[in-house]
Amino acid sequence: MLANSKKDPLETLKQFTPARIGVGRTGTRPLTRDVLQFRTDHAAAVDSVYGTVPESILSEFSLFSVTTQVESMEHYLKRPDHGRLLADEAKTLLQKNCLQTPDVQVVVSDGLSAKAIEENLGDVYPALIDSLESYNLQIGTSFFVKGGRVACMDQIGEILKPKALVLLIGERPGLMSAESMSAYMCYQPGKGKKESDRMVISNIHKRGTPPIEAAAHIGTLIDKMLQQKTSGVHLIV
Amino acid sequence: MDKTTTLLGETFAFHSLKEIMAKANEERSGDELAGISASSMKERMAAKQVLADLTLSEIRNYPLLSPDEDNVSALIENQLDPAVYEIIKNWTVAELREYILSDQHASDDLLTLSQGLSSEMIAAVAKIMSNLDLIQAASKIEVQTTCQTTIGQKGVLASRAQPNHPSDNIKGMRASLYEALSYGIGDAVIGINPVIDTTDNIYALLHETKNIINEWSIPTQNCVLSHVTSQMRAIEKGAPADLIFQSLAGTEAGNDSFGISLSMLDEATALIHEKGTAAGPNRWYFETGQGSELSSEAHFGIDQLTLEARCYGLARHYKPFIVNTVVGFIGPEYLYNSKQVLRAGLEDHFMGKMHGLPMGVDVCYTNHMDADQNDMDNLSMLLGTAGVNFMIGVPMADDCMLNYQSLSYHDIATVRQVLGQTPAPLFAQWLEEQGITQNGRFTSKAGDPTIFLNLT
Amino acid sequence: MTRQWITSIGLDIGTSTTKLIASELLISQSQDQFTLPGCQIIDRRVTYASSIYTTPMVNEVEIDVEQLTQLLQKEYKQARVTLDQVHAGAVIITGESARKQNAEKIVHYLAEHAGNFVVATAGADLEGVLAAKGSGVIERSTQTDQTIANIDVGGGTANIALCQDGKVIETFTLHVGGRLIRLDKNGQVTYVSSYLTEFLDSISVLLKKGGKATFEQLSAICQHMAEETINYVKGISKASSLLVSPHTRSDIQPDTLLVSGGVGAMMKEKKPETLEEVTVHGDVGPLLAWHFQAWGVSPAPETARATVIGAGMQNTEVSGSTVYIRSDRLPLKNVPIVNIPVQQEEEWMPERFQERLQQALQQASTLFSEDDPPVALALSHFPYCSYKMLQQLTKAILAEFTACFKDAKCLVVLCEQDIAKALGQALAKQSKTLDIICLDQIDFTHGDYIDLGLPVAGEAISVSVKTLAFSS
Repeated sequence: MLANSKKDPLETLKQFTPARIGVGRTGTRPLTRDVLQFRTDHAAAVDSVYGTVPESILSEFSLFSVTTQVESMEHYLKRPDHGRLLADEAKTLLQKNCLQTPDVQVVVSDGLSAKAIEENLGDVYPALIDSLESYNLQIGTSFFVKGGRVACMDQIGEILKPKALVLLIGERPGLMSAESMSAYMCYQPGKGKKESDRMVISNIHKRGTPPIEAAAHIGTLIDKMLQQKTSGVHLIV
Repeated sequence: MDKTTTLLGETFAFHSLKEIMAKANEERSGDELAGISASSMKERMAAKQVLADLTLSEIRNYPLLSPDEDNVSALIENQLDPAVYEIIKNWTVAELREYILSDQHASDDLLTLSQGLSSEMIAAVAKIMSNLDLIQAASKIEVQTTCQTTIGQKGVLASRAQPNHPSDNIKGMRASLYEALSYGIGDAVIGINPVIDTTDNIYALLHETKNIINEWSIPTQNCVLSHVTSQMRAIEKGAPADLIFQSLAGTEAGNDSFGISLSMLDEATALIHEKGTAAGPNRWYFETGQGSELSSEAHFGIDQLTLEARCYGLARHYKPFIVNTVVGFIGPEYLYNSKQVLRAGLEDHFMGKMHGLPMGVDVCYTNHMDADQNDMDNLSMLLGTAGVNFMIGVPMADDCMLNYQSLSYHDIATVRQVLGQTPAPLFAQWLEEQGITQNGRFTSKAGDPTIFLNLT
Repeated sequence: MTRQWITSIGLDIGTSTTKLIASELLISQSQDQFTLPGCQIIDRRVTYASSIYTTPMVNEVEIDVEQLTQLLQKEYKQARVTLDQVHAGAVIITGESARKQNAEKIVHYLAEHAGNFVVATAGADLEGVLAAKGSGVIERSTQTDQTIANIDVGGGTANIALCQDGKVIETFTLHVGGRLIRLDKNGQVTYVSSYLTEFLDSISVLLKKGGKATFEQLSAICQHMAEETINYVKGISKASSLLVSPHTRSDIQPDTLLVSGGVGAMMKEKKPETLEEVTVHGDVGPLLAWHFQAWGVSPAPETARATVIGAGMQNTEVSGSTVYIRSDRLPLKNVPIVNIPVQQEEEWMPERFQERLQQALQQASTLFSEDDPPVALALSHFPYCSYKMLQQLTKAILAEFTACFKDAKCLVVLCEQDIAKALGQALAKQSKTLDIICLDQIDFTHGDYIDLGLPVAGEAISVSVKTLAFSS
């Protein structure tokens, strides 16, 4: 949109930043509308932490569910180490249901924002599958991990031995966006993998990194990982 | 060290100072995650009882992490003033608490005492102090420091303006800073957390903040909070920096995981004194926060409160202008809820002040923590009464870059108003000159960032 | 972070003067580990600026290509640039020199002698944009809240660009320039542009080739010319007999007016007091410059070389870093741009998009069916693009493109929004046979043709958007 030259100076300042500026005050306190808006945004963020991913979106892409050793949200928040380990029955399920040693394994997890999965999976997942197929990669059996942490990639890697793994996971919600998703990628995930071996594209949501373009780019990265047989800081992109 | 005590008919045995220190902490999720916390309220009280009866020399003689193995331990050990220590070494931790809280002992007494205290002793006494103890003790200690301007005077509540932007957009940063200044925020420092940690970007941000300071003759100092090495490269290139920043950990291994060493900090100290743009003696800005050593697996089974105290032991060696604990940023696995954050904020502030540090607090929380803005209202008011040197303000408490909530510019203005505190003297005078305040009260210009729009 | 310097040439052949610059552009690909890779030109520097030559002419309208050739050979040598080093740049042929016979000759010559990637371009809109870029006015507009008008006054035309916050939001052109009237030091008139007839009538000044002009007459002409320009730029007057192309948005009223071009350069000089002082260059340039100044208008940061700097340093862009290329046809030159708004309705309506696409491509197919790729589809006005919408876009594009260009084997799509890789992959999946080139983050608002270079950093390629194509 073209702006008029005689803009309200406050609007001019506000256009440069998403920060909540120019809100005004009564006494030393903010105005009612802004206080309530702020608390509303916080409420949305909290709700997305404690929310659950609707079954419908998982079944839309035929994702079956497994759990980690986490039993409740409080447990999840207090024990990140338990979110990295699958529940015993999950291991059996993976072995039973999943293709072993695929080129690429796709895993989805709610992480810290169920809302992120609910809002973005519908665009990211099919675009990702298209992208991986365009590189003629053999795609494993995708599934959903409830209560997962990023490093759950390693144990899944140990069980299914994919050449590369993509984890789509909800990010810690901010007030700007409670529905931001990250995609973590790793070549031959497994025990002893370091943070620097993983790659991530973050801030995937409608007003952030465009979901379908992120998905298309993941395909390119995975293809490069398989060609160069490495990932993270060692990958030449 | 083996200690046994019987409490309410139950006997508790402790096998090391490390164990006593950990179990004497008020409840927090980080100690639980590390597997070192008390298993019951009774055991917690037993540990506090045992700790209260330990002498300061016992704490010194049973190092939690040997000075031979860890350079932060060595630095803390070497700082100890033998003359002061000689006088107090046979005090118990309980006696230390009572000395600190006594009406007979004012700021100077406590700062002298501080010279003979190790970080572990200060951590120990904090463990047996109540929240109000922590407030009362800290409120007595006055720590003034000088970079371009001086802060820390009694009755002064300074503030950091934190005008972050999600893509380091210079105009966006300016807009947010104008908002801060119009609320009287920014006297401690104008400090930006950059997204992009390149020399060019750090250079540009230092330049821009300095330009604004010069353009409006603002009595404050600038700082860009990137890794110390990238700031050093920018300063070498001629970037104008009043302060140099680094996050600290309480162990050598923790600092290693931050990519820093003591020699690097020494080098940075020399550089900022040679090429920095400030006039005063205090040129460092440090940040700390309970839990960072555990998160980098550099904690050696030591509780996070004690490790936090050790950060202050490290910090005081470099005579910083400001230090703050980013108390609620690290996440619920270290501080689960508002009760734990509030306690940690008061502990950190007291321990910093007891080290003689110009202590500030980033009163903050993340969205996956069981806390909300009302809890920050409470903590900011408590810290105000405790005489905190400065607090951090972001627009409407919402940091659009770091994705967490801190205090609003409004909130700091409110604490000042309610407690009758003022901005740093020169800054307060500048606010009068700009017409933002008149006789210390907001005018109609206050809260209007457009007064800084230079339309020529 | 990968970085690469490329050499770029700018050449401005105008009505009265010709100048050349050599510059270097620093292209950087950021590899921040959390986001999609990004690519941009992060630094531009002039490494050589030629003197300002009088454009060699055979007669009043025809350029002397031979002399121009010699001049350029000398300048390339002095700039220490060899042809194979030149990876970007533009020659801009402005004002009356842009007549087709001149332009074609020059471009033929340049195809062999200027380096592979130099593109030819002309057209008042783009000239105005390039001048505003080169004069520094676009940059200045990022530092204030004001709307700034850059008035580039050369020999024959004044190209005006209104700039806001780093963007040109409007361009228009007037017949205002220093060489529309030429005369000797005695006031003997050697040339009066026919574009001035109505204007001279309106201010009741009689001036004819072969006649004599007085200092007062010339003063009156220049004063009115400057006044009329300023009033039109400011939106105070809505019409002018000097108009080449009018503005389309008279609601934008610039706060500051700055003058670049040859006339801008003369504004710093003292007031010409006599006929002799006016006619030092054999025209009215100095007097016109003084009258702009008298109306309180200042010169731009860069004046005489604004257009050539704009052409040499600012005309090349790089595409987004996530793109899709299934083709070995790059580099490609002179691909006509067909602009299709994706969404003009309240919400995304695939049928309406397909109708617009069909209409635009059918029209284009009557003009450009011989080359392959025949056109570049330029998609603007994007809403948020979901997976479903991506499928609909893909289907519509393939259906209409293959229907309109039955023999084409190469599909080029340019997108405003960052979705080129996703769209490219989707197109490639649906069409196994077509070559697909899909690029994004290109500003094609002010151009008719595009040249696509080779990858310069990562996947990103250099592109030049231009307004004229000459087949070489």
